[in-house]
This record gives sequence, C-alpha cells and structure tokens, in this order.
Amino acid sequence: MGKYILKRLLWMIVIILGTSFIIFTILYFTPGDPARLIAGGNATAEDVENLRHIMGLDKSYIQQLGEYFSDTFLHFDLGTSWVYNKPVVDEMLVRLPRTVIIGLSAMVLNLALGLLMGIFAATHEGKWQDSLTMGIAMVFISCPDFWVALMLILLFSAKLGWLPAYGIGGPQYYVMPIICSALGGIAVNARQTRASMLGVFREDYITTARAKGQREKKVVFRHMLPNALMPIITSIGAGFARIVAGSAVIESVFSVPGIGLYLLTAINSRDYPVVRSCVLFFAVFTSVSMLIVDLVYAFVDPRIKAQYSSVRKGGQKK
Amino acid sequence: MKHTKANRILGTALSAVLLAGSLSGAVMAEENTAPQIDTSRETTQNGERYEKVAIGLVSDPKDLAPENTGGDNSLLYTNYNFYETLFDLRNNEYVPILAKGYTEVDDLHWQVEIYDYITDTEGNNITAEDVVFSYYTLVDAGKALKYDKFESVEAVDDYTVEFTWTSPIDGIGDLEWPWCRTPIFSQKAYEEGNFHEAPVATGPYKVTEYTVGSKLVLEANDDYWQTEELRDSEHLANVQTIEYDIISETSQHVIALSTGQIQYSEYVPEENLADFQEGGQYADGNDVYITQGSGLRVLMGNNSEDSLMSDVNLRKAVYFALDNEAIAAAAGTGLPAKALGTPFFGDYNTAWEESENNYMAVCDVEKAQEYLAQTSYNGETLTLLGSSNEIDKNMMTMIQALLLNVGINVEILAEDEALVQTDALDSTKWDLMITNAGGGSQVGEWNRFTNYNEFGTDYNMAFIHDDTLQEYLESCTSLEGHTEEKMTEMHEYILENAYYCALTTTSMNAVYSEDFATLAYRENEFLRAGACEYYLD
Repeated sequence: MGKYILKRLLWMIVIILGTSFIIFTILYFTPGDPARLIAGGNATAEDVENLRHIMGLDKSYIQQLGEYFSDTFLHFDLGTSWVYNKPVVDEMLVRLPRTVIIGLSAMVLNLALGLLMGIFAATHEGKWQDSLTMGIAMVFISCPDFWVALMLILLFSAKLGWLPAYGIGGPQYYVMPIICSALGGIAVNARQTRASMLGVFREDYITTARAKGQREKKVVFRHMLPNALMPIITSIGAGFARIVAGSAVIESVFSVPGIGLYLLTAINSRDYPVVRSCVLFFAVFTSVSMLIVDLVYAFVDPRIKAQYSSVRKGGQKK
Repeated sequence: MKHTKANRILGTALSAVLLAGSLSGAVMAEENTAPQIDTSRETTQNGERYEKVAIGLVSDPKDLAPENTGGDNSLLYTNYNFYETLFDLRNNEYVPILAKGYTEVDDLHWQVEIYDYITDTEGNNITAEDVVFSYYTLVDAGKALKYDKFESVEAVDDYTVEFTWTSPIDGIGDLEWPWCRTPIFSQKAYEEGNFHEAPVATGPYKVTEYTVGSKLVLEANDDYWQTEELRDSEHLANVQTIEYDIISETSQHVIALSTGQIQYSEYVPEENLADFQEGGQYADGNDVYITQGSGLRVLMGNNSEDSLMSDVNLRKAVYFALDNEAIAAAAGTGLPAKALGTPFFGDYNTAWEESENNYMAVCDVEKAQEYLAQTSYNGETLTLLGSSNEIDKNMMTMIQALLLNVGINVEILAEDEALVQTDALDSTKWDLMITNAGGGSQVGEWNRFTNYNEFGTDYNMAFIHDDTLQEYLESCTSLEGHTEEKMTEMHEYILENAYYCALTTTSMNAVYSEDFATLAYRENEFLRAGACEYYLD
C-alpha cells in the first residue's frame, strides 16, 4: 500500500510539471498583449514597449519558460501579480479560506442532504415519496447557480432583509453562497445514492439480512449503504475537486473575493502569473483529492485494497 | 438580384425588430440636472461632517500604490482621495494643489514651488526631494504614461523642483499626466510602509481598511496640511467615512441601493433606472442623475489596401446607412452621437452637428445606396471587429442589420478586450471596427484614433497615413492652433473623407441617496465624495 501511494505521488509530480508546461505554453501563445492591457488605453506604443521590457515579455519563449520553471520549482516562488503588484502566494493565502469555507460547507451540506434524500427515495421506490424526492432533485439540478443566487438575493436581501446581498464579513455573508453551491451537488448525490442503493436492494445478502429478522433501518445502514458507497465516493471525489475549481460563478455573483474570482479577474486582465499559479494550485488540489478518494476506496472495500497490493506483487514477480 | 432584395427585406425587418426590442427593454437616457442644495435644511456647509457614505464600484483599484496609473478606471474614483498631485486639471487649466505655482525659466525648463508646510497623514514633511522621488518611482516602474515631454526633474532647493522638457510645452494637455496624474508622497513613508495596501499620503482622506476585491474604507484626514482659507474646494472632507464596496454584478447594485447598503452607484443597469426615479419602486429616498460622459464609441473603416473599406464611397455608404438613435437604443446605454465628439468637452462644437456632410446626424438610406452604387462592392462580407462585452455586441448586431438593409453584408467578430487591442493592429483582421475613445479634451480624444505616431507603425488606428489629417491634428493640439475654426476644419476634413463615424457617447447614470445635497466630480467625471455636500437632518 505504501508503494502504491509513493507511485501515485511520483505520478502527481509528472502531472504538475506537465500542467505547468501546458498552461505556460498556452498563455504564451494566446493572442493579446498583457502589457497593453495593463498600461491602459492612454498608453502610447513607447509606454507599452517599455512595460513589456520591465515585465520580461520581450524575452524568448525558452527564456521565459526556463525562468518560470526555475522560479516555481527550484525557488518555490509563484511570482508577483502584474495587476495587484503583490506576491501571488500571499494573495492566494488570503483568498483561499473564503473559497474553502464556501466549498467545504456546501459539500457537507450536499453530502448530508444528498445521502438522506437518496436513501429516502430508494427505500420508497415507486411510491409518491420517491417521485417527490427525485422531482426536487431534478429541480435543483436544472436551476443554474447564478439564477438561484439572484432569486435568493431578491428574497432574503431585497424583500426580507435577512441576509447581506454581497461581500464578506460574519457567517451571515456565507449563507447564500453556500446554499447556491450546494444545490446542484445535493441533487447529484441524491440521484447517485438512490441508483446505488437500488443496485444492491435485491442482492442475496440483503434478502438474508431481512430473513434473519433484522430491522429495516439496520438493513439499510449496515448492509445496503456500505455496499452502495463506491459510486457515491467517486461522485464526492469529483465534488471535492470542484470546491476550489468551480467557485468562480458564485464568488462573482456574491462579490466574494476568493480564488475563483481571483482567477477570473486574472484571465480578463491577462495577469499570467496569477493564472498560472491558480491552475497549478487546482492541479495539485485535484490530484490530492483523487488520491484521497482512491485511498478511501481501499478503506471501504477490502477487495480494492487487495487489488492495490496484488498490482505491487505482480510487478515484483516480473 | 432576388437574393439581394430578400436580404434587404430581412435587414429592414431585423433592424425593426431589434429596435423595438431595445426600446421596450430600455429607458432612453436623457440628461437631467444634478441635485440642487435646499438651503432651508441643515447641511455639511455648516462645517459638520456627514457620518458615512458607501459607494458601489464594479471592480477594485487592485493596487493602491502610486505606480498604478493605468488599467482599471476604479482607481480614478478612489486614489485621489488620499493622493494629491502638484496640480489638478480643470477645463484644461492647471489648478495648483501641492504647488504654489510655476515659473517658466525658458522653453525647456520650468520650476514648480510647493508649499513648505505640506505633511502626509503620518506627519512627514513633503520636500522637493520627495517630489523628485515620486516622479522617478513612477518612471522606474515603467508606469509613467504620457510622459513624452518629460526629460527629468530635480530639486533646486528644499521646496522647488525644476522640470526639463524634451521640447517646448505647446500642446493641449501636454502636462496632464506629469502634473495632474502623478501622486506625490514622502520617500520615507514609501520605503517604510506598504503602499500597495496602506498608502500614506497628503490627501483629505487616509486609508483605514482595504480588503482586496471587497472593500476600501477611508477616514477623513483630521490633520490635513492646507489652511482652511487656501484649501481647494474639491479637496474637502465633508463626510467622515467613505466606503467603496466592490460589487461585480451590476444587478447587485440595484439591490444594494434599494436596501441602503450603498448610497451611490453609477453601475445600475439602464433598464432599472426608472425604479429609482419618481414613481419607481425604490424612488423613496433615492434619485437619478444622468449626464453626458466623456467616452465616445467610434466606428472606423480599415483604410489599408487589405480592405474594401479603403474606398471612400463605401465608407460613406456604410456611415449614411447607420442610424445612431437605433444603435444607442440597441446598446442600452449612452446617447446617440451627432458629430465626431462628445458635448462633455469644452472644445466640442455643436455647430458640427449641422454640417451638410454630417452622416452622423442622419440616417439616409437613399444616399447610402447612391454611394454604394459608385463602388465596386459586390456582396462581399465585411468583418466588423469589436469587444465581446454586451454593449458592443448589441451595437454590432444593430449595425449588421442596418447595413444589410442597404445590401452590405457584415460578419461580426466579437473578441475579448485584450484580443481586440492586438487584432486592431492587424490590417487583415477587420474591415470595420468599433473602438472606445476618451481623453482630457475633444482634441485629445481625436488624437487617440487619428494620430499616426500613436502606435509606432506610421499608421493611425484606421490604417491611415494622411499628412493633411496629421497637420490638422498637430495644429489643433497646439496651444495656438486650438481654435474653434481649426477644429471645425479638421472635423470637416474627416467628414469629407469619411474616416470615422461616431456612434454613441457615454452617459453617466448615477443613482444616489437623497442625503446628498450636491454631487462633486473630479474632472467632471469621477465622484469626489468628500467634496459633496450632505443633508444632516
């Protein structure tokens, strides 16, 4: 198992280096001059050229790539934002907690509600409760985030005046962004859980458990749910990666200065050090999330743990 | 032939539908007056301060350091509350602020004396050495924009600096950037502090809180350096706290104003303005001030050999076919342009609107077709380049429909701003282009798209190298030649050659709380919250 993790970590390094190379190359060849955009409409050709020199944009592709890799991976320096004139790491550290609070809380919410709704629907298969629950899930999944956000703002801010419509501050500022972020995930988890539960519903061991006279609640939570968990974990893994990578829309609507909005602003203003760093961070975060999910698979299902070990043994034989 | 006729019918129908749609969704912006002070009420004129005002912006200044001079407009609202410059620019006049005045030693050497009692919010005395340091901080950062005439600056004595110019100062706005857009600050404070987030300067306000991307809070500077008698009327602090809230979604500005979270915004979508006017759902306690802005949206043809638009008759056909009223309605913001310029500027001349050849004041389809008949145009598709923002896209769609109406086919190329700026310099990428222009004066605005020295390519933005046009421009930008007569001649020359067609001018749509007794603007454009008067009762 230890060697499996080590192998995955080594692959992660390859992925991170590859991602860095790809994003650097894409940005380098993307049309549009960052210096002209940063200098603004009043700048003359001479002003822009001077700025390009100061920003190092007049160097060759190889020179710029070499400097980027050297700074990032040898000196662990992600650079300074061209627009904010502040080290990218410092700004990311300030913004990350806001994104994580929203993303993580939304995930907890969609896990709890999604699982409960899925189990409820599966145990009432074909009945009106099942239709109602899945109907609600369909509504959640069909409503775009930004539309839900605007509706919530109209209700809770404009009409009732209970919650602030934008910005950051106390916990009340995070309520609407969390609800908006969670809705889609609740629906996906509910549908996934229902499908997985129904998949094991008529398995022999479930029939046996029932025949032994076990209570339905015990059958559901001790026998059905653990065996239905695998697809749910996969879905959760993807959701975990989306905590940071999928935050831009919600942060933009609620004016929450998080990582997503940071990236969005950077893309629009061609602030390449920020774009490169954010993408690199997303790559690391997603890779770690996927590794954790794979390890949880092994924890939940001993067969997979054995599979990881057998891969190692197979390799040794060769 | 049938195909052309069908296209025209389609074009007419499409433009009619677009216009109807635009008008149903938008309230046409009409100028109205700024709030007039009610002298029967208690106001900040009695010397008392209003407690707090919150202002909505769509983006934050990002970096509060003095080197941040380009890019985002939001810094023009925020930074001059805490930074001051040697002079302010008002109606093309240099109004002394930190400077007492200036002396012309000779054509190339001018001396500026500053007050000897200027202090920043930390008590540092500002000297001539600090002025020199401030200038070179900007120059070294590569952010000294529009410094063409600036050669060097040095301290002559403790409170006098001498500027050396590269050539005599003979143009309108030559010193706008060196004198009126260069913040002055203490070297000591700069080296010891973090100006990116907590600048220390001489202005009527000081920064007390800055959360990047969210909020900027300023407090009145109780130890402002200037005496009450000499204090400039735009550098007052009539409100104790100014809070700038960064709200990226414009629809959120409506909510924030309606709930009282902010008291002023220029970003309310035009279709929501009526909600804040008499009879509107949020009119109680709010009002709207709509006025002419300085921006101009200009359509230009590509005059290079790569484009069919190098034919003057085709340019005239295109421009006569356009209806600026319809284009402004489609844009959903701004006012239809009636000449190549904006009435915002003092050197704009309304007589230009009456010119016989002025295609911007009329939509004349017959004339357009007459000109079209004199061209070799044979149904080719022209590429119309513009920004991918909603305003430009809507304008381009309307232009496409209006041109289809006279049998000119247009494809729209909507790109993000950075890409537009790059492709604009490539003559093979477009035939028609919409661009935004601005400046400190009408001639300054013209300079942006008519000057063939502006891009280092020997061609101006429309790929024109016309020495006559350049002579007109240089004459109009000079202090001597900046006359009504010369400006009119240049305007006529542009019309004659159909080089440019102004489409719309920007309007400023400000929604404000009725606690504002007056509104004050820097350079007539950027709210100075501290200089506004407020009702205290």
